[in-house]
Amino acid sequence: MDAYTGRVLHVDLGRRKSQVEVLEPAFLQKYLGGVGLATRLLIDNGEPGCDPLGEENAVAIAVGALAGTMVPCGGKHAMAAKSPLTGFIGDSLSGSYWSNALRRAGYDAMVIKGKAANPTYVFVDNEYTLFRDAEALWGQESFATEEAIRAEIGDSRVRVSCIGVAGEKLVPYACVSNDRGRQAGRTGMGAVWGSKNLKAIAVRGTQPVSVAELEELNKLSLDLGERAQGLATAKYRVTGTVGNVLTLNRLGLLPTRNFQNSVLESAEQVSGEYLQSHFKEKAVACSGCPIACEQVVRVREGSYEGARVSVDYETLYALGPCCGIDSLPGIIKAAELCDRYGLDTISTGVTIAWAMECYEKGILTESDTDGLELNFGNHEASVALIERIALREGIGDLLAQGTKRASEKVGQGSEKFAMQSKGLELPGYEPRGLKTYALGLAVGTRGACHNRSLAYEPDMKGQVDRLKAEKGRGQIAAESEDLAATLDSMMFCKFIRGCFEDYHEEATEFYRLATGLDLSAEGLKEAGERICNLKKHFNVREGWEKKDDWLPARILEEPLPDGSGQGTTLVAEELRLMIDDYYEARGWTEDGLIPAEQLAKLGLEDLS
Amino acid sequence: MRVTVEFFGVARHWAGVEECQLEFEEGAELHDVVMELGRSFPRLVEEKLIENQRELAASFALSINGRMVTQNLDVRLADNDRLLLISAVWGG
Ligand code: SF4
Repeated sequence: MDAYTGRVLHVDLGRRKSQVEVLEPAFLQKYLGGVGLATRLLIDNGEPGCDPLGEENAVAIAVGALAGTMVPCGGKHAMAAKSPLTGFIGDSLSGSYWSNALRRAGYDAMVIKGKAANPTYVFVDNEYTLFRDAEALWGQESFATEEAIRAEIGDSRVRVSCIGVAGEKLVPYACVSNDRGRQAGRTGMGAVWGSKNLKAIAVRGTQPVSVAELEELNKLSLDLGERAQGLATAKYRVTGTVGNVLTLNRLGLLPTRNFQNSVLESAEQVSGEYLQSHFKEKAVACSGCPIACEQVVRVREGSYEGARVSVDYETLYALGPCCGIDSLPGIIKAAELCDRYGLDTISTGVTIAWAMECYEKGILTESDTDGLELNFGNHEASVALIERIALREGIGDLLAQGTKRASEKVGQGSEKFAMQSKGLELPGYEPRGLKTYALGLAVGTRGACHNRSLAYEPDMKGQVDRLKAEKGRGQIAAESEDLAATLDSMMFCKFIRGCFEDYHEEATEFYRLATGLDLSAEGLKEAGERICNLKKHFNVREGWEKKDDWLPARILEEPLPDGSGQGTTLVAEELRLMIDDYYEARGWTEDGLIPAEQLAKLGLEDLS
Repeated sequence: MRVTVEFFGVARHWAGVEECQLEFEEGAELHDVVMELGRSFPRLVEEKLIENQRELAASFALSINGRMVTQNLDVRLADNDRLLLISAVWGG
């Protein structure tokens, strides 16, 4: 077996010990890597029913089979743990050099358990694993932490993944950052690290990665690299994902003012085009990526002068239109603060939007908000809130809990406009106008997520009527989740998916040439289904109930107020119909549980 | 029959305008619009957004009046339709 190392590094922070587990090729073929492998390792190593912020929770990190090879856009890692935000599976991806370093250090994955007595960072130095004091790093921002660790080790090749202050303060939507600005953003992995007193994992990996058929793999990689310069990625290369703003706005799908509107009147001011012409500094890429979708932007004048960050569409939506904010400098500053403190930008923005609506409705007053005027559009208030959230100070302590818990605490009907599912805040597409996507959000194992289900694609390509909820969407949503699971386990960046003519055929060819292991297109599809069932199994183990697959009351009770889909509804009966259809397509029971024979069919009989 | 085409994202970047107006005979289809766009904005053909003179590349779509989105171009136009030329590639 090539590419894979067949080794998992187990780290026990409490005992300050590490050991290596050897994985068989058949096991790796079954779970592929990335999300699939991380989820399986989490199931095997995390304590069922554990407190997500307790010692018994495990963090599993896995790279894909192609990490460290020449294959473009294959260098990412997945992180899985029980989420402190949702209580269900937390899984989050990040890209770039850290992933490749872990493979080059000799590992396919890491599992971290226990809790260090004091702030600690783990240094994986090829075959050695060292536990180092991070007392001096505690309280430092993520960028500074990376620099400080590299300086301490005295090697600029060392790659660092770390948490910021928000993770230390156990904000349940804190992220883990690496390579200056890449994040495992969603579901609060940073808080899990913080609960373990784990500030960072530094990796020095200098060993070569072998591949089974070098020449052929090189040829195919060059070809894919060339295709990645073509039309299928033009959007990412030319405008970046921020190009979505005006299109979604025109289609009436840009969630605005906490989903009270789906059109922002002043969208031109926050458009990708405006961002490009007034703020762009450069585009940057993850390691080995010819696309370079990340737009690094800088504020050049005014009160936020010097704020610099890379911005994508979701960040822009959440900290901008969702909060009614149309000031790009204000959005850029807010995004920079989220990165420095280590906060998921989507959950942060949507939680601030919820607070703004509470304020405008008189549910929260200035005596609750530390005197801040939380009107929609007030970017100064948003910037001020981010620091409070990260430090859990004043109103920030309430908002640090995310919309679900904060609204349960505040009550007064604010639960109805807490824009979350399973506790995870909604991404930036209006579900009332995209019915297949709405289903994907409701049934998503990690909560309201567009990335684990690519179900907006058939809506947006016109393969289905995006405004209609009907039977048949269950199969489409299930297939789109399976596809996403294979991408997230092969660890191909989703933005390269359009460059494949037949993704399953071509991806398995890459896999075969890199690892020397056989995997058919059908086998890859089945692995996708297996991995989705694995994640669902984890949720059921942790107490999932049918009622958890649902959407916020606002989506189900209020028609779209404006835009081209004005008046469109998604009522509870329609959502129920689609969810039941989805359970059926998955081969699950009417209650959404996985029958033992379904687990067996997918080779997961040991879990029944 | 007059229709307006609005450009978004990469399409706007290449067309160099935000929108344009086009005239057609009764019975015209989306294919005819794409053909006309290719003539008026050769960059769209150069960049292969328009293929075989009358087809859209797989990563693009048209929306009719902001509601329906389609990649099927055998659709008849109505007077005063507003068409949006958008990317069919999403994610962020
Ligand atoms: S397309 Fe963007 S996210 Fe994907 S690998 Fe390249 S730079 Fe990273």
